[in-house]
Amino acid sequence: MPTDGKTQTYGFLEELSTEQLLDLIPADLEPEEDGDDELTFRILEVIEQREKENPTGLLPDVDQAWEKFQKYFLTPDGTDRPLYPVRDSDWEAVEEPVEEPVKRHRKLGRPLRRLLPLVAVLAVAFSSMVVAQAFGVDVFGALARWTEDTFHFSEGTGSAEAEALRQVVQGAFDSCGITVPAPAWYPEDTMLAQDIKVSENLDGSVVLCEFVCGDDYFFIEAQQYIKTDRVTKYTMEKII
Amino acid sequence: MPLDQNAFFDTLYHESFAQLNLFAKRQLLDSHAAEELVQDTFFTAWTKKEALIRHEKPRGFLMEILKLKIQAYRRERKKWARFLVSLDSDVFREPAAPPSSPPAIVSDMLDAIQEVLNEGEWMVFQRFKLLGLTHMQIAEELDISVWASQKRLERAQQKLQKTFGDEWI
Repeated sequence: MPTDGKTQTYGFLEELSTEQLLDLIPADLEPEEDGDDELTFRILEVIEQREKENPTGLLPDVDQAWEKFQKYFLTPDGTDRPLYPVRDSDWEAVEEPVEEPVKRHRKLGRPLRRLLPLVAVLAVAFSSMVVAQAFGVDVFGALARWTEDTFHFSEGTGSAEAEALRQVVQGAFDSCGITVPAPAWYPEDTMLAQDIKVSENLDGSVVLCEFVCGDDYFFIEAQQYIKTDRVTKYTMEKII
Repeated sequence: MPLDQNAFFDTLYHESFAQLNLFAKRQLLDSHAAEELVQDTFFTAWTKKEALIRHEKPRGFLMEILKLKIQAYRRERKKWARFLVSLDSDVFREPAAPPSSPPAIVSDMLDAIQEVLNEGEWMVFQRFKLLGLTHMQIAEELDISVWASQKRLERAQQKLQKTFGDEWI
């Protein structure tokens, strides 16, 4: 299995249906979110590959399109002015790619937020898991299930949606070298409140995933410290 | 275009067209409009071939152009739709609009437009503005280039602007 970061980050796309993949592509264009292009291209590649193997009519006839291009666009009466001109003010950003500096604070793509029902509880449960792990309980090897009244671990795998979500959160962790595994179980009807935030500071990297589930609000925050002396040494209490 | 640039463009076109088309269809929900905008994107890239070849991410370059064109397309269609919707409200305006304004009722407006435009201009205007066809569809139907379709539409707009003045969009 390929081990490059991008495959790990976007591997979950293969598990989604074409319809779900199309839904991940934002329908409204917002220029400031052009960092989503990498994900968009990966989505388009997956769809294109599927259509080539099992055509359903989604793909155009490219050879025919090329003929039309030459017949209707590359004609003697044409000038350099296109049908839908790009405004001069927009050209600079397009023509001169800006080499992105290392971002101190970046968001993962908005499409990821659309993805699925997500987990909650985890910011609260997470700290408890770390403590439990320290006492020999294999927290990360099992699923944590949290209800209003009880908290328990159970065997087994999550749904396909949960697995896809796990990979999204895991992708965020992987992007800044956080080695803690992402939670694998997510209750239904939870939504990402906003884009996953990844930031770096002098102490290390921080990933913040904020969720809403009905009227409730939860978050997962994972911090990877550069040095052990940066770690705050205190006991984290479970919030009830 | 030098042979190597030709080959570069040809390859990029064949490798990228399908994905850009998928993206545009997702945005516009109209396969004809999507095709036209993607073709126009490649045309723009053709005219900017030097920038395209030196760009470190040619596909990203194309995608950015496509997004801008989609925005331009949507602005244009919205403007026209708002204008059409606004016409009926003129019926209730007092005092009566000056004679050089477009007629208040849509059907009267279309008659007035046909009187101003020649046949070629009217055919393009009707198809583009009223039927929502793309320049590519018009070009295929009338066996002209997209530029001829565009120029006829521009001439039509200029005539209508001159006839109806500031009331015309």
